[in-house]
Amino acid sequence: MDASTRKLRLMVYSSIMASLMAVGAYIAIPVGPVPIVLQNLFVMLAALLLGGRWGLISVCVYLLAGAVGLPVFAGGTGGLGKFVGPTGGYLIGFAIAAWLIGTISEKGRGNIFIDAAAMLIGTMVIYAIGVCWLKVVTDMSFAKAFSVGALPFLLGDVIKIVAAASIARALRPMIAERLMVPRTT
Amino acid sequence: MALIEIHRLCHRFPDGTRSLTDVTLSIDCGEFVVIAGANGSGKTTLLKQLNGLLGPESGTLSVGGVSVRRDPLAVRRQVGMVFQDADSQIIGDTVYDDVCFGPENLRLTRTEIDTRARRALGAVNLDGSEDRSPHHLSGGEKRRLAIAGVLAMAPRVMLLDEPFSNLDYPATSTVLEHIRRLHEDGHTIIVTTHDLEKVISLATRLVVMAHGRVVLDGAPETAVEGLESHGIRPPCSVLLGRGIQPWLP
Amino acid sequence: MAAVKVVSYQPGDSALHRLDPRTKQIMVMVLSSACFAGGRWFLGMLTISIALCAIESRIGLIRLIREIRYFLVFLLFVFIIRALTFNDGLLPVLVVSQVQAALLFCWRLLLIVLMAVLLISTTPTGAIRAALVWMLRPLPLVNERAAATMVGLIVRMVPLILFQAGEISDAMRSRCIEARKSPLFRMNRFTIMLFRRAIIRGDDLVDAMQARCYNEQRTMRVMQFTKLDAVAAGIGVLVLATLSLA
Ligand SMILES: Nc1ncnc2c1ncn2[C@@H]1O[C@H](COP(=O)(O)OP(=O)(O)O)[C@@H](O)[C@H]1O
Ligand SMILES: [Mg+2]
Repeated sequence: MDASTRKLRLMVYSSIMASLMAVGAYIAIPVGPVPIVLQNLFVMLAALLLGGRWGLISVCVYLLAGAVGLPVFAGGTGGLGKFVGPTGGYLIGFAIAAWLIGTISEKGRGNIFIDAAAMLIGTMVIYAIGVCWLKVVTDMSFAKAFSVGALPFLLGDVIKIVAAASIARALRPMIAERLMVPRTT
Repeated sequence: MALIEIHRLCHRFPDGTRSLTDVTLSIDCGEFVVIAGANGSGKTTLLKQLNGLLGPESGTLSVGGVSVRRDPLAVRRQVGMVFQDADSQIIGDTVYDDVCFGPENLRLTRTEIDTRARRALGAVNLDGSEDRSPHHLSGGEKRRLAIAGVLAMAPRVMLLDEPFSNLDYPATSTVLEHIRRLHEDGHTIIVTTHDLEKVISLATRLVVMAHGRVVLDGAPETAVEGLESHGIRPPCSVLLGRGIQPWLP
Repeated sequence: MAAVKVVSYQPGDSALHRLDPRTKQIMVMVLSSACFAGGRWFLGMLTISIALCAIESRIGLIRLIREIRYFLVFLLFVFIIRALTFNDGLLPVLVVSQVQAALLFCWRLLLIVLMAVLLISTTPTGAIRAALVWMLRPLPLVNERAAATMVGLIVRMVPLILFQAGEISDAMRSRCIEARKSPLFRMNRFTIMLFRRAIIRGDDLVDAMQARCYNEQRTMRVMQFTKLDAVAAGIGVLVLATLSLA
């Protein structure tokens, strides 16, 4: 495959990952009392499947679409205001986490434990930035911000990390075949 | 030298599936070639090869003397492709934007793009629908939009992959009529189908594929005789012993 | 489920349609950001302006509301969550100040979404893309054309993927996936199918784009600021000025 085809393919896949993030912000799977929102799962998958650079690009394109007012954020909202709103920290966190997860897992060459570790680190980064920003914007105490902005989701996130590791395993061959990358694992 | 030269072309998908074996064809300017074959016989793969969307495993392929592998972009300017699934071919979010996509990529000036888009839409009777959303078009209109999108790039060769799939009778006749006119206007036409009935009377040549090989190649009148042994139903009129008749009354 | 599901470009020839996409986009960006800081005066002015735009653009208030009907359900949900206070974790009680705050919050969200709907329904993606290229050009390290193309693709893909998501969950239900209780299993299945289909869609899109000679340096739309844009900007500034009112 020539370089321009490869680039177009990666661009289209990144846009698709970004579209999936938007969809993940709307749909939730009803599991138990708290529905699981799929957005951060999709962010992690974008990074695992496309790697650090294109994972980061996916998230940035997603954020850009939201910034220009397209309704891609949770609840169908968009606009620059979201970035300075209470949940803006998570959005920035997604970008950094995608880059970290993608870069680490590329180094791990598909090792499932390294993937899981990468996602654990990424998730911590998302909450670190998200909760700090929440605290700054809403003027809550740190403990309060944590109990509102992180605690209720942690169990779900552990489940998502486990899920993402196995989902990525199932989908990687498909991507690798299309990008003509020699197969790992 | 013929316009399209295919020499001993083989293709294999990354998963190992062989879809073309040793295909050799040469197609002249102005021909109307119908490629018939059962599902999975390699028709779509062959068209994608002609457009440089898939690369050959071995063999050569050239259009107007230009090797597809060497310069796919130059080849794509001469060879337009209408895909089987009209939905997935839609790129723009209005009919007009969609038709403009090709000429924009050719980096024409805005006025030239507008002229070509208008002309292409007029040619398939979609003028007046410029601002509609392509997803709201009917199946037949979508197919015509796809033809217009290719026409706006002014190619010499038109590849149409199963252009009648999922179309009802009126839509089929309109699309058929447009294809006939494209040929009349001097385009070289290559149509694939698993159902010869509709298009065979327009053809100047019939190529039959099976299991990735060309098994029959000749003038429609003679080639239809050998069809049944390759899993294709000959047209009714041939079965009734009346030779090839136009599908449209 | 989603606001975007039904929002698409509605052709027309109103002033809002004729406005330069850059003007529209910058105004939506600035005004939606301002929403989070705005008080009643600002939100009121903005509401009136949005209503006038909806009427002027022939989108109409009723259609505008209908386009976001799913979002309204979500908004109601947000309102209830925010308005209720749980006293000692037992009984929900209503506190006036909290209800007011919740109303204000929902009002803001509503306006942001309405502006987005107006933007999308009066601007073709091609124009949004061209405006984006113009806005991103000054930024270093950003390939503005690729970025704009990708944003355009999102507009194209989101409704499709939403549709596929619906299909997949229907298919899963009809094959009695509920019988497998493990939520992990269900989430895995759903996600894998969703990604597979989306990637295959992407392959088709790559083919379609390449077949039509996709080229990053393609001809862009011609954009031109007119008097209309100056008027719109003036109105925007007036609305912003009400930020200073309590
Ligand atoms: N992306 C693909 N990966 C692997 N095999 C494929 C792919 N696409 C098609 N094939 C296989 O290649 C063969 C030829 O397919 P195709 O050219 O689509 O046939 P036709 O268009 O005549 O129905 C079939 O056996 C099909 O299963
Ligand atoms: Mg086919």
